[in-house]
Amino acid sequence: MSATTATPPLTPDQRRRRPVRAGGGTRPGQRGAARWIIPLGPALFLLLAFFAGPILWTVWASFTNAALTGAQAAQTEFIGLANFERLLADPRFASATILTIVFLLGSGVVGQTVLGLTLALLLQNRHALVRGAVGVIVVGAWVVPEVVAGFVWYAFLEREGSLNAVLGFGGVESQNWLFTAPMLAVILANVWKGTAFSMMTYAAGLSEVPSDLKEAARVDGASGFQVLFHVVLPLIRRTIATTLLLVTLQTVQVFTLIYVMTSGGPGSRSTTLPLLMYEQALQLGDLGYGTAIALALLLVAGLFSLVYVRMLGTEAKR
Amino acid sequence: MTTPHGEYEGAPRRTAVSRVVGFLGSSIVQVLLVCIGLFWLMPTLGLFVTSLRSPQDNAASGWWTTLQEPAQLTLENYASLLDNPSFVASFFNTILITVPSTLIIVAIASLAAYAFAWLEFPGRDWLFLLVVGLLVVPLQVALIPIAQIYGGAGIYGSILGVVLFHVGFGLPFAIFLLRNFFAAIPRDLLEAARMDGGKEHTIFRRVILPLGGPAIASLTIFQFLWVWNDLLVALVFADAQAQPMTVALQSEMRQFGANLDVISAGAFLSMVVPLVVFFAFQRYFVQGVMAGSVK
Repeated sequence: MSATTATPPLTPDQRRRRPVRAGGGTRPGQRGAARWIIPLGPALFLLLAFFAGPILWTVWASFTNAALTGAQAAQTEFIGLANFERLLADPRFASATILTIVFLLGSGVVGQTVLGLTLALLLQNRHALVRGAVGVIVVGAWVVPEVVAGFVWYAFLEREGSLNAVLGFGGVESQNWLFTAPMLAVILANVWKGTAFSMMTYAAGLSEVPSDLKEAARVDGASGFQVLFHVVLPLIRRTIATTLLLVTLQTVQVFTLIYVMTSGGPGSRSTTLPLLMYEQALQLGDLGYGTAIALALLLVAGLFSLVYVRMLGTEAKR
Repeated sequence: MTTPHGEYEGAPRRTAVSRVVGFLGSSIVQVLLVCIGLFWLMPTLGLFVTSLRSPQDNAASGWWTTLQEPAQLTLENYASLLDNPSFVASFFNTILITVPSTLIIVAIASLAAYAFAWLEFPGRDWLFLLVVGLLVVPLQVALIPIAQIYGGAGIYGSILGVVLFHVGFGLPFAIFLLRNFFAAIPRDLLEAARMDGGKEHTIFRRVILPLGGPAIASLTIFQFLWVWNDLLVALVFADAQAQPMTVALQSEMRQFGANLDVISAGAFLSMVVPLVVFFAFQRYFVQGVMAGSVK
C-alpha cells in the first residue's frame, strides 16, 4: 500500500483515459472472458429478464388486442396501430398526459427543486440544533411509506380534516379539498413527501462551494442574490441537473400517493398516466391498450431526461 | 447568528445598520424555518394523535381537542393491532420481502459495478451507458409482461416473485450508483493488490468492498426504503398470503371511516422501521449519493 504515495493524484478524467492494463500488464492468470462474465453475469441475466424481454413484449403487445380474460385472452390478434389510434382519440389519455406533466412540473421540478434548494440555502450555517430539527422533520416525511403519506394527506384535507379545522378559525367554509382541488392536493402532498431528497443533495452540493469565491464576489460588491445566481448556482449545476433527473424519473411514475388520496378522481380530474395504465390494464384487463399507455409514459420520461442530459452536456463543453 | 458566514442574507459591509439588518434577516429566516417545520409536521402529528385516541373519541371530535383533554390518550389501538393475526403476518411478509431484496441487489450490483469500473472487456462503456439508460424505463412498462412470465413460471403471487421484481428493477440505479463510486477508488490501491498477485475476487473483497462502503451503505438505504414502502409491485404480484403491510393498510383504507384506529396505528408501526434504518445510516447516505451525482 505504500506505493500509493509515490504517484501524484490523478483527476478522474486522467484516470479514465489511462488504459486499465497500463500498470498490471504482467498480471498472471488472465482467463479471458470468464474474468468479466462471472461478476457481470447475474446482473446481465436479470436485466435481460426484467428489461429487455418486457420492453420487447410491451412493444409487441401494444400492437395487439391482448387481454387478461375473455375470448381475446385465448386468441390474441395483431391489430396494427389500432391501440395508438384509440389512444390519440381518447380524451382521457390526452388529459392524463397533461395531468402527468402538470404533476411532474408542479411537484417535481418546481416544488421540490425550489423548496429543496431554498431549504438547503436557509439551513446553511444555521445552528446545528435548527438544522437537525428541520432536517429530521423534512426527511421524516421522505422516509414514510407512500401509502401512509397518501393517507396522512387524505386525513388532512378531507371534510373532517385538520385543514378545515384550521381554516374554520378564519371563517373559511368547510369543504373536501380533495374534491375542490384534486391536482393541487396531490402536488402538495408529493412536494411534502419528496422535497427532502432535493434538500439533501443540494445541501451536499452547496457545502462543496468554496467560501472564498463567495467572499471574493461579495468584496466586489455583489449582493446576496447576485452571489447566489452568478457564483453559487453555476457551480452546482451538475448537482442540479442530476437531482432534477432523478426526481423526474421518480415523479413521473408516482402511483401510490395519488391512488390512495383520490384514486384519480373526482371523475378523471387527477388521473395521471400511471393511474390510467393501472385502470385499463389491471382493472379492466385491456393489456394491449394498457401497454400503449405505458409506452407513452416512457416517452414522457425519456423526453424530460434528454433535456437534463443536454444540460449536463453543454456544461461539459465549457 | 453571527458566524463569519452568517451575513449571507445581510449586507456586505458591517456597519451598525447592516448588523441590525443582518440580525433581523437572520431572525426572519429562523421564524420562516420554524413555520416550514410546523407545516411539515402537522399532517403527521394529526395522524399520530389520532392513533392514540379511542375509535369513539375519534368519531366524536377532531384530534386537536386532545390538546385540551390529554386524558383521552390510550394505547389500545396499538394493542388491538398487534392482536390482529393478519396484520402481524403482513408485517413479517414485509420483512421477508425487504431483507432479501436488499441483500441480493447489493451482492449482484456491486459485482457488476466492479466489472464496469475496473475490468476491461469489449463494449464496456457502451454497455454501461445502456444500463444507465434503463433508469428512464418506468416500472409500469414491465408490470404486465412480468406478470405473464411469473404466471408461466408458477411464482405469481409469491414472495419470491416480488423479491425478484424489486431486485431486477432496482439494478440500473444500483449499478449506476456503485460504479461511479468504485471508479473513484485510487487506481494505485488496486494495482498494488494486483502486483501482490491478488486474484480478482481477492481484490474485490479486500479493496473494493471496504473502500466502497459509503456507496454500498447508501444503496442499502435506498433499496430498503424503496422496497419497504412499495405498494404497486406488491399490489400486482403478491397474493393474500404474501401481502406486505402496505397492501394490508391500503385495503383497510378503502373502507375509510370505520377503521381509522387500525389505519392510524398501522401507519405508524410501518413508519418506525424505515425511520430507524434511515437515521442510523444517514451519514453514509449523502456521501454515497453525491459520489453518484458528481461525476
